[in-house]
Amino acid sequence: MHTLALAIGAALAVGLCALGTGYAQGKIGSAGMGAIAEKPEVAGSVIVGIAIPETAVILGFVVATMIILLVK
Amino acid sequence: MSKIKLFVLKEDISCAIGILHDAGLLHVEQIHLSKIMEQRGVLRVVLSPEEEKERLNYETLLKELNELISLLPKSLPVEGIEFMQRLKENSSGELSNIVSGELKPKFRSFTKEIASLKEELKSLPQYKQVLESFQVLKRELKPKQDYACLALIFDKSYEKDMQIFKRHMEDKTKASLELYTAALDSKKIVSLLFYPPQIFRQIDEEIFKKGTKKLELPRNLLSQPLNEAIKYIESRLKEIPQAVEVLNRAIDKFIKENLSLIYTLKTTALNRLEEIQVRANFLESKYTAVISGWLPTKDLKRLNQDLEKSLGENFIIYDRTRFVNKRDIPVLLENPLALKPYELLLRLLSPPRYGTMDATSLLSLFFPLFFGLIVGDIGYGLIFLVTSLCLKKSPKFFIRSIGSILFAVSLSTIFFGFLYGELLGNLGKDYLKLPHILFNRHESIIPFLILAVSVGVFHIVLGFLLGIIESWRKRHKKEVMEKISILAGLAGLFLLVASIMKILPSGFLPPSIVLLVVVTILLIFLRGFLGPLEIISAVANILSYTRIMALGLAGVMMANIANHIGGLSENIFIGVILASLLHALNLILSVFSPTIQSLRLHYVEFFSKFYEPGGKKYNPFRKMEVRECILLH
Repeated sequence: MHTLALAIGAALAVGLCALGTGYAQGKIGSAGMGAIAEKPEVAGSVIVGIAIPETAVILGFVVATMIILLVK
Repeated sequence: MSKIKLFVLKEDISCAIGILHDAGLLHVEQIHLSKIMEQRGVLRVVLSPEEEKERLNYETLLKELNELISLLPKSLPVEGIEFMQRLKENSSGELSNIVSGELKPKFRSFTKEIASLKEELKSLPQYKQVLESFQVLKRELKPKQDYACLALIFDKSYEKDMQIFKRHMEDKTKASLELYTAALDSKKIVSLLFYPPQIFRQIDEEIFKKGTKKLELPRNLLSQPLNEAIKYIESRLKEIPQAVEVLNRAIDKFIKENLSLIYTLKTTALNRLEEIQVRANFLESKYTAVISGWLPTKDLKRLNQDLEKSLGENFIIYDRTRFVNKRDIPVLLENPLALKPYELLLRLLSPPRYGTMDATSLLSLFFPLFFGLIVGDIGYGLIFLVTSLCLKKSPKFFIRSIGSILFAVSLSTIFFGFLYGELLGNLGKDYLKLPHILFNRHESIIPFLILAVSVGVFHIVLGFLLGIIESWRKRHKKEVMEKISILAGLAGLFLLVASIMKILPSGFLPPSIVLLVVVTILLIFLRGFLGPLEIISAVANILSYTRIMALGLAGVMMANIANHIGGLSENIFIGVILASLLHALNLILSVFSPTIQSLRLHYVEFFSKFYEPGGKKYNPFRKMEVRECILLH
């Protein structure tokens, strides 16, 4: 039961973060593409901007990994 | 940098612009025209009607040249193309005549002929199919003279409709039409409709309404017997590709002979247009013109000498450097050749303010390090190395720079690959018995996490130290105190956590608490009640470096999965192909993700401690070279 809870916790940690990141990057990406269509020189900044929300899923991954280690 | 105001006589302004353009030193700045200046008769330089006409001529010339250049192949030989000195003194009209009189008509005739031949090549097989349908029936076509022919292709079920159509058109147009029908294939019928050319529009409208596929057969095919017409088509099908090949060779020859001319014209037009447009930045009074700008202080003497040679004593340079705001000074990044490629990575931010730190050297050190820490695979590193050596041969500076960065990154990746003992994932360990000198990333997650956080601590502390140095140089004591307080706060937090977790003796606990209290009070005093949050922000910045572990782990897991899936297949070749495809996908991800995340760590976490963006790039008013113009293509 304890193992099951840890496993679900790990899955939720990374899954929910990924959902949030995906939603944010979707919004940023579509706005960014519109900006690039009008001004191609901003492409580099837009790509970096799209990468910024990845912090959430990366930290979620780290937390999930640490939870999995507890399972082991 | 020195800010200067150059005063010249109005009649010498064109000469002065030419000298400044040749020297390529002055970053021209628009002079602000105040009301007092206007009251004293100082105005912004306005183009005369002749200059306006010249400007329009050059813009039209550039448009025509760009049209011509768009027809050239994308990859052009850069070597051997030179600026044609004989065109240096030609006027805009003469240059336009060269383009519209010589170059464009000749090039257009080539491309038009090729287009026509390709169109014929596309149509001939269809004509052949139609004529062969009638040849099978052993019917010769004997249309009336001067009649045009349309081949109509439609479904077999509509065969009877064609006769109705013919009668309908004859009634409508009062003309006599001829109709021949044959089977094209098992499902389609072709009808040849011969008609007087003057009723083409009416027939076309009716056919368009019915949505039938049509083909206009050339008269010369129908005026001869069917088998001769078919033989003629077959011989044309063989001749046309050869004719196209001859024309392509002629175009290549024409381009090679005229490439220098085309790019000389473009470079000349661009430079002259720039010389006209720059005047809008100047001011003039009744007798003088004023030009303002920036140049490196060491080049001021040289500019003086260049102006003296042509203008004698008829100019004055006022050095206005001591009256400027440092924020307005344009910035020229001067880095050694080996570090120049990394300036590309900094282009995503604005240049640093004048007098502040240039982060290019730091980026050149830490970016490959982070990339290597994340990817850390000998196999991938070798692929990057080979790719970088190919890219470094490109004539384009941008591609060569990417190659140089990739070269450094590949060496770092190979180095860390040895430390991790990874070659295409776990293949190094399984087949070559590579040792894990540092640790096995797949199994040692906590040590990898500790390494990533340690790198973060080092990088952030370095950022703060550089920030302290920058603030000290600018005599911003408050900023120095703030940064020292945050560093002390981080140290206190570390001591507190280490004492609680018994990594350090419990004797460190009281001093760490005292340190944190002192730092908190100091930060509240320096930055207000939200000041202590800066310590938490710094901790968050450090934790952000855990992405090194996350991405590295994801990468090595992908590589191991690729090997595992490849190993599942019983056939070795299929297994290798499957594994290669997954490794290729991982390789592509290994280029983009570590690049973006490494840059993000620099831009957001590291640079925020000391880098001051907001500088203006030094962009001197200089002549474009022919080579630059070609590389822009």
